[in-house]
Amino acid sequence: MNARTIAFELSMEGRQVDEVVACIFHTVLFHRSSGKFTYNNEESYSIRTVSYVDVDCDFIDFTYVCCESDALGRSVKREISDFSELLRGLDSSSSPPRGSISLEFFQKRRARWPFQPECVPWEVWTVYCELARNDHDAHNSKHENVVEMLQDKIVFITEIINRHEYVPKMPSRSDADLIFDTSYSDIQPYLFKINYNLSGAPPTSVGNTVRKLIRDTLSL
Amino acid sequence: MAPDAAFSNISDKNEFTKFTKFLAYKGVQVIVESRKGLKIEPNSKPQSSDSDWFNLQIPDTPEVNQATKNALPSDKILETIRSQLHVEISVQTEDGDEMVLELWTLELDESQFDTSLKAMNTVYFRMGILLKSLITVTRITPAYHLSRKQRMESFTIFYRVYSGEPKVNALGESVKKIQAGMLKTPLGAICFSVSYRTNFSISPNRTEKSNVLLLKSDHFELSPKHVIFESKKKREQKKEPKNFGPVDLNKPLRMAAFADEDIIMQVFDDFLTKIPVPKCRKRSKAQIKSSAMEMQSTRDLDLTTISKSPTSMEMPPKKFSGFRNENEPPLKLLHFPFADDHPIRELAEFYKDFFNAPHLKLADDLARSKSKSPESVKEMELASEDLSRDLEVYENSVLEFDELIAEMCRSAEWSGN
Repeated sequence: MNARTIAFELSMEGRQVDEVVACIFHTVLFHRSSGKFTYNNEESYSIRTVSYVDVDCDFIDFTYVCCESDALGRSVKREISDFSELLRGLDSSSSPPRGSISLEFFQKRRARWPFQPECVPWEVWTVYCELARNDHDAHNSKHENVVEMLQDKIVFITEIINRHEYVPKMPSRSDADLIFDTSYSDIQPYLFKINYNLSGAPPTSVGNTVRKLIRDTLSL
Repeated sequence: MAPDAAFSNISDKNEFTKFTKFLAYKGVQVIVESRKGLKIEPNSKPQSSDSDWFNLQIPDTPEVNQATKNALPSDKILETIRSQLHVEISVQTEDGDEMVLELWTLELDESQFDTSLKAMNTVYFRMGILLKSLITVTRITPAYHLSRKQRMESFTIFYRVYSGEPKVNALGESVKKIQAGMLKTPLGAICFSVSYRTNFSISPNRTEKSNVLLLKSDHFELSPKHVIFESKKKREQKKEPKNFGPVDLNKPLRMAAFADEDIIMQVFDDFLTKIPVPKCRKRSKAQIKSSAMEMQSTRDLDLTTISKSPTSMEMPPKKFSGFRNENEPPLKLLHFPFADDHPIRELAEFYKDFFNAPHLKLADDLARSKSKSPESVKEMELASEDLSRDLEVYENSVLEFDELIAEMCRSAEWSGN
């Protein structure tokens, strides 16, 4: 798998999970989304403008930027909320609850009958979350820790994203759907998928190894 | 050093220069916008025209563009960015205390180049990503949170764009530096970075600063703000005494820009010799001198403070300082309260553009005449007495004037025929 994988390990309170993950994922998605493409012919295209908005967090003293797209915001929020709910529902009596959620960018390869198109990830961002106990005395210092951690992560994200490796080339019109998610009306992110896992192991990837194995065998 | 033949043809290089120029313009816009203290809400921006640079909806405030243009000459884009372009963000309290918060830098580092990047559309696309990184990082430094509070608190954020050596000392002793992305191009790495102050207490630990604080009294006509910001040049211009009579015919207006002083003085002299001026309007020279001397001590004090103040030494007055009103600080105010999404904003910008028009001396004198010290009241009475005498003389000459006008009309008829 020729992909870049980036992992963050963060400790936070239960109520901060949604915002910490959203902050990281939206920062990445802001960089990894462009305006809608309009193809003039097979090879030439024009790109529409991306607007962005500031999001103030409720449980952290932090503001992040995300693309102005309701639909994209909703779909990301839904995945993160599901993950957060499950993570916070875990039994915390023996050890602090842990879970991981990943934002995976992939491109599709054209399918050969009878198989589905193959998905090949090229960049995976994983956030490992550990829930800290609600300790009221240490609340403030912990809060500051989360803020500082997020600041570092944001700087790190910008550093990584400006190294342009593994990013798919700009596609021609017929291949646009293999690289970009063209289903949104106001924004065009690279194809992405959010996965999560509550055992502490990395979330499963979209790249289906077994299917690839079979296909390779058949093509022999 | 980047190779000389970094681009295969000249048009690519020109295009690269153009992109870099707009990257700088948009970068400054992003930084300044983020320090206005406004949260960018959904649907808060007008519909874009889809012709935005780098496909990003970044504002294009003319004032900010002008500031960038002044620091970044169009014929030396790459040279200027090689020697660094800076945006300085500072805060000023109501009391006039001033502190530099952060210093954003755009530079072109020739030692880190990437000759494999040839396609100009890729350069353009990646510059867009670099700008996104800049937008993201502007939200995480302490100055962002401070600027968001400026609406409720009694301080204002200012910015300044300049090129060349960074004035890092103004940030104090504890400074943190963050890089907001780097793009390697055939001509070197384009890089945005920010250095920011980590100690925010306005406790004056420098003697110069405490000098300024000592002056914080209303005894002097100049408030500490002016003490900090006024340049020497301006100070010299101000050496006119303040205690004028109600109307000063000798100096009806302040001298216009580029006016030839000698010619104007000559015209005035000619005028005054030909036309008699009522006695009361001539001010005794002694009075001028004495009042000028009275002002002197304050000014000297101010001057010493100025030469010691770190800000005045390290901050040359902003461009167009010649047209600035004396009461205005050198850096521009960033926001118009209560006028965020309103047509009034346009009006406010218009107002701001013309705010710096030359100040009429007459207005000052009128204002002063309103403040009624016993002396001025007496002077006024004297003046009105003289005026009535003047009026009497003119009324007696009404016939003469009528004849003059009749004659003028006749000559006009003659020439008409």
